Amino acid sequence: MWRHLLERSIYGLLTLVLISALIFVATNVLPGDAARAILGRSATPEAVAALQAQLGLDRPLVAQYAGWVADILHGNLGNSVVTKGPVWDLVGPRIPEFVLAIVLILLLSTQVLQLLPPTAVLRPGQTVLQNPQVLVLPVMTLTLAIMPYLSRLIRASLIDALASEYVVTARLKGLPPRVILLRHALRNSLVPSIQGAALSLAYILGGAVVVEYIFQYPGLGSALQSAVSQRDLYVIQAIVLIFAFGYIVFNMIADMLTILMTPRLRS
Amino acid sequence: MAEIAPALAVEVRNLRIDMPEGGDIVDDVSFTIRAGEVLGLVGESGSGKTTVGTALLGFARGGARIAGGTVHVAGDSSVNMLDLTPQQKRRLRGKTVAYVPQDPASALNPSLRIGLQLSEVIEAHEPETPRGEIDRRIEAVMQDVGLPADPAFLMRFPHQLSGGQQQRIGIAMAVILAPKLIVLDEPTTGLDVSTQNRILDIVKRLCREHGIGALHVTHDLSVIAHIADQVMVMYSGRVVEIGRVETVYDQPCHPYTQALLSAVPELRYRTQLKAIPGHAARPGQRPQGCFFQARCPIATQECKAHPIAMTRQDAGHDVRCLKSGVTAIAEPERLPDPLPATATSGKRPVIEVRDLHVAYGAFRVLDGVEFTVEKGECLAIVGESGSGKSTLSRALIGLVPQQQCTALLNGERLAPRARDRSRQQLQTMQYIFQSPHNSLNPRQTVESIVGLVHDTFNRASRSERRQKIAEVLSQVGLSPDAMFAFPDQLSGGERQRVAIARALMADPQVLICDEITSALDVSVQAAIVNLLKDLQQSRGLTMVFVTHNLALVRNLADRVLVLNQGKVVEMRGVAEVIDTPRHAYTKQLLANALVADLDSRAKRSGEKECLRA
Amino acid sequence: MQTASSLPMPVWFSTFAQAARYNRTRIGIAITLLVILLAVIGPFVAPYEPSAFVGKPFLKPSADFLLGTDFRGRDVLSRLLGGGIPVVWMSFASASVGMVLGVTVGLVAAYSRGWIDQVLMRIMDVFLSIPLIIFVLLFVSLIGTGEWLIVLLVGVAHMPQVARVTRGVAADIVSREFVEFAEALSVPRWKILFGEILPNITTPLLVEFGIRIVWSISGIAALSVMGYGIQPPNADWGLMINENRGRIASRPLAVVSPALCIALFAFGINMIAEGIAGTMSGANRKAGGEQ
Repeated sequence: MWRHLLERSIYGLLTLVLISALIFVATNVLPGDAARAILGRSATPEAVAALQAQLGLDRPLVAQYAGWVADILHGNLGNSVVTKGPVWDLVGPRIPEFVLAIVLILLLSTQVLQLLPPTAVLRPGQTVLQNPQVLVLPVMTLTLAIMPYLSRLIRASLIDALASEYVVTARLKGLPPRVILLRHALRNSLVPSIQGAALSLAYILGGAVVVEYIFQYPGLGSALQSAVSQRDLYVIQAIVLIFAFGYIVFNMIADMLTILMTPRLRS
Repeated sequence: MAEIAPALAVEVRNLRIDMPEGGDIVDDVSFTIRAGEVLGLVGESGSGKTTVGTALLGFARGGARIAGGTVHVAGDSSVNMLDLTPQQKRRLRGKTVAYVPQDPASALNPSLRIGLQLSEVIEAHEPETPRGEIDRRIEAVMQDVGLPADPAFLMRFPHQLSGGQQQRIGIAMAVILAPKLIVLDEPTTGLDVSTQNRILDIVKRLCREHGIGALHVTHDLSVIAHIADQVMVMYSGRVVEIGRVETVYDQPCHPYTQALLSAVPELRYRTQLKAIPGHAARPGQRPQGCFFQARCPIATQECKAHPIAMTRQDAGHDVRCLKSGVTAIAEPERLPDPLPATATSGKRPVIEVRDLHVAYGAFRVLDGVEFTVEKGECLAIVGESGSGKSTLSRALIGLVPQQQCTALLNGERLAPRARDRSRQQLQTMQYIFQSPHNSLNPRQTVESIVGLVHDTFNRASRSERRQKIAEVLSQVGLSPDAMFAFPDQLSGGERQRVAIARALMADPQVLICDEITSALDVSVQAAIVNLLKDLQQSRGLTMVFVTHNLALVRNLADRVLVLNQGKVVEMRGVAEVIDTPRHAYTKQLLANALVADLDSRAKRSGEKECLRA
Repeated sequence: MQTASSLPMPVWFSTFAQAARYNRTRIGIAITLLVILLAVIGPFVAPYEPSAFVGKPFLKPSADFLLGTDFRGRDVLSRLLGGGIPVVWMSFASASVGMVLGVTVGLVAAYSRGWIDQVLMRIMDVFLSIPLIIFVLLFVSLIGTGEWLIVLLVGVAHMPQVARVTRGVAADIVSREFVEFAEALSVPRWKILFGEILPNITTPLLVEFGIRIVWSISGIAALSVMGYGIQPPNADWGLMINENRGRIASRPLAVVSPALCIALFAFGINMIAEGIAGTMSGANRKAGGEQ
């Protein structure tokens, strides 16, 4: 089993590296130069060249990429073209709320928290949030968006499990219905549901961008959106990387849970 | 030990099960099973035998409805299993009436440890049992079925057990609460003969020792011979004959029983297997009068007029036939064994294989296999599961790229991968798979399926192509109309015929058959075997026939190659190998086969001891 | 032996017929057809030109303007009737692009097994880690916008998920004996992929197509809302939502009506997809064969 986990971790890392390369290439090879964007349209060619040299934009692409990765590993995400300040200042504070929101959405949409009284959701004990009630509407929207898909998936996999041969055997053994449902059917229906939840994450991340825009909520999504509209390259790179990282980590967790829950894969 | 009246495990009267849309699947089914005895319920596909089995637990699959009849368990005539509420049924299932499933791999929950799957039966029915007592009972039942009882073993998951071990767990789950009746639904399908024999011995012993009555549903007549005291033959939803095994096997009274017995290949000598022409009518399409009339050689007008009732032939022997006792189908005639093939006939062998090695990592599936196949002969490749026989046939046809070997087809080198072979070579050798369900594309018509082979080797106009396809279909006994059908509209036997037709379409010299009759009813198997023999004669085909069934080998093959764990153990003429085996493993195979052999068992009266493998 | 009628029905047709037996499919078909009809016929029955200025901005609904006017004084109803086509055609087109690309990748991956499978799926994973909207935003911000570009980008964004699903369902088929038979016959690989394997996975792929259309709808609508889709002054449901957001409290109709149309369209397709998915579980159940 540990071999599997190790394999998955390596793949996750590899994927992250590939994505970073993709992002880097996308933001650098396509039209739109960072130096030009910083200085604006009216900049003279000399000024642009000077800034390019300063930013290291005249080096070969591979060297630039290596430099960028090195910077990131040091925690330096560059400076925002718009605010001229570190990207990290713009993006960092928004991350914890974002993660919390995602977790909440998933829990709510899979109806895990159904058993808790609704007011508990509105009074989270974390001190990270300053204005928790602002979170409610966007979270609700995204939850409602993916809930039908997820609950249908869970229901379908439960139906499938209940129709399987081992459930028939359990019935013919005279086991009480509750035992059959909880012990036999549920266990085997969880795996597809976990995979479905992981998949929904992609949608939530994308949806977050839109929802934040609509509700004018200052989260990572709207930061990305404004960065895009202003061609703030380093911010774009950073946020997309964060999203990708979160997605990969989440999928790895889902994979590990799947392995844990499938005895056949553990040995 | 003396009992005045032997207790009845179950008494069934007039059982009737209907299809969801109306019309019966089975009707007028009545029988009794004494405590400690086994009733073998035998029938082919569509006979309704599986439905009868589960009905004893008050259960019907797929929306079928138990429409009438009484099932009295354990001599208690006050309680009809079929009338109980779901609650009441639940209390009896597993405790008084238990079920041993057909496919333990899917019947056991893959996420639960086997210890738990055993203990939950006790917990469900006798919840106050203390943990220590539960453990003790699990230990006892594990010993009963011959499995280790240590905690480490009980912690295993089903996928960590072999097929035979899984089936023993299935039996253990059923007998752990000492029920009065167990229903076994083809529990030995897919198991090796040796494993099968062991399982059957366990079942029989448990029944005797604990006074459990058993209903054993199967399509395999030799299993009945091994394990059953009584046999009940079903056809098209009706019981056609019921009696003691020795009586029925020695003097079958119903034409269908006679036909079935004539279709089973013998181990001791070759016979002309008899197939039954036609098909069983499906529920809803059954005729007036006797259901077997269309296929019965002695049916008269009287047989077709009214429904036939069961009549008493002898004590304990009932038959549903107006002509009961008349020999409708004679015992199959003996045939001479084939002459030993002479390699000195001057001709080059069609296939020569030298030094065949196949390994997956460190595991050697085939280790230095060497053999030849002469033109026009049928070489049987025999072995148990894990012997590598399927890998061997697949390597021959080019589906095992990892193989290393020197193989010649008609003197030319044969590449390991099919894609690297010449068109001539591809055409010369054709393959027929085991599973009639999986070997035909369910989304294509028979015309497309057979047409694929045609198009690979020929170019012809649409009408010419159709004509050729119709021709080859009729050569395998199918009507040309069959080409418009989809596979799921055909029976298993018909699908195998399509598979043969598809192979013949290439006009090959060699046919490689991989257990092609293992999934078929015995009478259908007989028909296919006869077809193959005819084709071999008329087209001069060479055949490689992979199977685990030694009796079939006796009937069909010229030479036999015995494979054990990837190595060739023995290779000689079929009569020599079976009558005078040389290698210890061959002797072991034969001993197992003999246990199941009809001829050597059915004629034995009284004594029911079984041979240990 | 029962034979089929001499003209065997194409598989997808019989699947639809089967799915149509469910109520939810019928509702889905009805709603979807309604929306498509609205989008297609709409421009011809609109009382005014969608881009014409017919009155003051944000007028209340009246006899002249059944849904009032929008933020620039154009008739909301006319814009509604004229704004359906982009959403409808772009969502179908992008879903189709995604299906073609994804099915090809998925089939090749499932059939090749081994390292090709791993590499392809890892590449798909990379794409998958970037959510649809972000992926499109990224490229749109750098290249610029345009209808066909959006269709292409959204289609490519769909590819990894379709590939995953295709590979998943094809994986069961590739090891079946009839595929092995074709291999032993040295049938060309593409013929095996599209002639032998693909016909056996049409039903789950139909469901996936439906899901892709739904995601396309929401994705393209969202892009329009954020200003990256259809450019003004053309009429487009997503664009309408964005344009009239300012007065949503007092004049909800200008936002709600296009949003409702989008939602209904997505809902209808969803119901159809669910109906088809319903036939699937039944079909899988029956695949047991005789003993």
